Amino acid sequence: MRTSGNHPEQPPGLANKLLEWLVAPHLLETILGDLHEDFAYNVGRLGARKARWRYWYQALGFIKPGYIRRNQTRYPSTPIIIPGMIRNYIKIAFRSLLRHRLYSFINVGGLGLSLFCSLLIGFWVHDELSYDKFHHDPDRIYRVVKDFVTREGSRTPDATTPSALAAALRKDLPEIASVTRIYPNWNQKFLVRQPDAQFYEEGVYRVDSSFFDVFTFPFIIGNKQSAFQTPKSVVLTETMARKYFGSENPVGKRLNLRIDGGDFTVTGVLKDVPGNSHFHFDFLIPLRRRDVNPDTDWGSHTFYTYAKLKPNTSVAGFTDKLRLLVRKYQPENQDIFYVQALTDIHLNSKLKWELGQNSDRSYVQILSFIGLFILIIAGINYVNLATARSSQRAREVGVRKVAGAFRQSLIVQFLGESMVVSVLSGTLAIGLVMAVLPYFGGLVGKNFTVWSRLGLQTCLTALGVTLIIGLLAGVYPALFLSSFAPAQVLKNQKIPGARFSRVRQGLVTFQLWASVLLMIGTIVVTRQIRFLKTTPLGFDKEQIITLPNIGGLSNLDALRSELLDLKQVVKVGAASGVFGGSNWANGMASKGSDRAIVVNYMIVDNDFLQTLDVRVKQGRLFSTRFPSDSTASLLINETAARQLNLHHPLGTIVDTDQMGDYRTVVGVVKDFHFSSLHNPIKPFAFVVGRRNLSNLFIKVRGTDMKESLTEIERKWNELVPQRPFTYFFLDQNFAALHRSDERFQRVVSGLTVLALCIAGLGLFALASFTTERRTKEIGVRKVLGASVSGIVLMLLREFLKLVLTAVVVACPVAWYIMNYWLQNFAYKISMEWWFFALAGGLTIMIAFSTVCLQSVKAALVNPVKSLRSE
Amino acid sequence: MNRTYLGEFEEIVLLSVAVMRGQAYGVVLMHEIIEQTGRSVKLNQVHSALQRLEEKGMVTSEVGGATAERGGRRKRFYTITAYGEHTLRQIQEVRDNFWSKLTNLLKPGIGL
Repeated sequence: MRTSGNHPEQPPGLANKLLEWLVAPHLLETILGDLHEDFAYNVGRLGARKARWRYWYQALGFIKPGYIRRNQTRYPSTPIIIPGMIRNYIKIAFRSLLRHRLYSFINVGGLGLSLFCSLLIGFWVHDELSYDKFHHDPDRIYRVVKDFVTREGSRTPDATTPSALAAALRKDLPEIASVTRIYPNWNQKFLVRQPDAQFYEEGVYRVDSSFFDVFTFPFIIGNKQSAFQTPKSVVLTETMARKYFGSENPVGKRLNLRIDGGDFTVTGVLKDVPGNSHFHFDFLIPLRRRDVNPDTDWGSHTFYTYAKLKPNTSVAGFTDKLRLLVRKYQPENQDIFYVQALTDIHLNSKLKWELGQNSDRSYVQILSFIGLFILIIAGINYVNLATARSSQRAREVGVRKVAGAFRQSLIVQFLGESMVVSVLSGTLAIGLVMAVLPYFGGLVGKNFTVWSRLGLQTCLTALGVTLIIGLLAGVYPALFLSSFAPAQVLKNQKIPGARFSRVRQGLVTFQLWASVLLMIGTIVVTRQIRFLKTTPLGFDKEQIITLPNIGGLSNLDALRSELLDLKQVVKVGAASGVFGGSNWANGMASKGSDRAIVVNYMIVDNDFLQTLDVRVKQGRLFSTRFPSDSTASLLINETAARQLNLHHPLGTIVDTDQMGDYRTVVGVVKDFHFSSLHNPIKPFAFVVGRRNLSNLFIKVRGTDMKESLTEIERKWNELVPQRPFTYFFLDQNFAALHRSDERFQRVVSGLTVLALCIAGLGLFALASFTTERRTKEIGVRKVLGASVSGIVLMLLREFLKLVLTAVVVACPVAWYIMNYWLQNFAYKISMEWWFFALAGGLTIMIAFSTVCLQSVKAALVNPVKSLRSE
Repeated sequence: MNRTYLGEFEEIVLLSVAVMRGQAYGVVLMHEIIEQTGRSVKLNQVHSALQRLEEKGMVTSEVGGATAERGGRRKRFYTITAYGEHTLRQIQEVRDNFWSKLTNLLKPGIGL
């Protein structure tokens, strides 16, 4: 569109571009022509530069609605979305869904199943991530913790702090908005007795009155000002209020907790502590200490300190000040104090003395990945099936194009089809979730409901994800199907999609890869959990009934001998703690050495070690034959002997509390697991004592546990009528330590099976379509003399390549990920080659059996049938 | 008065279309009007006036006559229709009527 040489001056191109883009096509020619003519005239009259300015001036005059508005009548164009056509698209979509039942079933079912899994995972992950976020300003709340450092520099991360710390923080650091201490009473059981009810309660926390300034636990009755006005106030949760007071208003009523001299007055009722809080309590009472002033005691580390900082406080700066503060008050203290964000505690904190069992970030990550994989696998099924059966749609595409459809409208149609599929499967998934959620909650130990803010949020997100999946999975088939040239597909010259395209090969490989990965993961997790369950712990936890409330019982000896008289009872022992629960720890050092180590210890009676069958390695166990045992003897485990540097431990004198309580080592017991197998065996010691024995361990014989229990209960009620009979089995108590691992294993293996099903279904359908495509080829081959096995092999070869690639790529990735997971355990299995071989073999088997089914069917067909139609 | 309303600028454009006897198109009309009235007129004003006149049926247009200085683009020639001429004449009559009254009234006063 350049003018000839007469007019070397050209009007500004940018202005032309602008007008060409904006001005309606039917006006453009004359307007541009007039502008150019005017420009030529102006060049002659005013010169090129001014003419250009005038051109711009004139051109911009046309940027007005009147010139930009397209003329509707002159050149009608087809809009992409017409209601009539949309109705037609939906009708066709449903018709093709109904016509190809298998295909629709695999698509809707597979996608629905995968969404269902991801939705369940979503519920779980959402809940895990929501921990402690229900407080006001959760990001300003921190827990002060420390690394417990011994004189030799060994460090133990520890969640507890001395009680004076909170007071010092409040006094000295202006960054603190409020600070509170929590004293969880360390498994002490409270016998709460009301006229018509008597129960042991454990969830009694002592807290500062500022507790409600730091945390947000809404009151149903009462308020935070009146909660702790007297030292005998108690605040209960709703459940406890109902348990002890029924439907009456409990405020002002008395509740006997049998500590601090009796009756407490109820001052408030709280809503129950949400499940997603990292600590749980039922009763709150004011923090008091009988012996010392809690605001000045730096000695006993039995308190938790939580602080709410003022807005915009730097955590690093606060930590520095915190350390300086501790130095100021406790120049001798070696411990390194720091803070943890409240919202990080549940997933990231793994300190000693946590307030409850925390979860782990790796679980959240691994499950999220599995959810994503399952979604992708189902999405790939859709893409593969939609493109593989393209020949069936090719004619439709051709006819539509001949009748005047544009590519855009076909894209809209096919995208719409995938949306129909995804909406159907989304509905299916949400329906399934509604039905299954309570069971799933039971499986993972959480309380889920769809009808909560969290639940509805998750469901809405799932719907959103469904639509996105529908779109993503629909894009490739839509672009592919709409690209057919009508002349070709209608003349049946070339059916597109017959080839096993590279994209589809890649997608199938990815599916298989994810399946192998999941399978190896499941094998490793299952083996590890089995290992946890079957590893000998070093003591006998079977057939042991534990009575946890014998603390301070005056007639313990009588009870013991009465129980021993029962024919079911083999042995009875008592101890201050329970293996698998928490136990006390002290810094201990051999006499003459100042190298102290942290040793867990338990006070036991003479029979405890025999009852639990703790094996002696050197020396002897405690015995009544040595009266000095109760004051001057000590038993240690092998780890303690090693860490205390005792080459000849027997007869060594050990300072058991670094304050001069010297005891002689009379024996070394074999190492045993007294905590979960996540942790390595730590130093452990036993001393004999009569005070502080709080748990009675009864070894029973025979299989009739029920009868033994009845007998024991009868004796208990005879001798200890004032206390209710409670018990637990030691093995169950220990199994509880690995409950979250076990749940994880169950969830992962369930999900893996589902993922394999979905992938298998997809592969099956894909194989059936590709085989169908080659019906004629197979017919010709058979006519020319090919054997059935030859044809099956030929069809299998295509898939074999993919399966092998997937297995080879998946193995190292799986090894890496599972190794990372196994780092959670101090005692773990080593990964063996057969894990990978088994997973690979299973995948190959599944892939081949699905493909074989189709191939054999195709190979057996009489060639007359497949070739007849032409 | 039963006629379509014509704006003052539309009237001038219509007049110049009539004067140029079938040779009228956008840019020459603009130059003509600038010359005759001494106003600064923009091309887009002329075009939109022509569009309105065409919608009202007072002019018709046809395309043709590409020239080199237009970059090979065709012109849109405008011709006045009978209805357009009729309208112009009506306007003229109305004005004449008023003028005749005005001259009769003013003559003695001015002393002509």
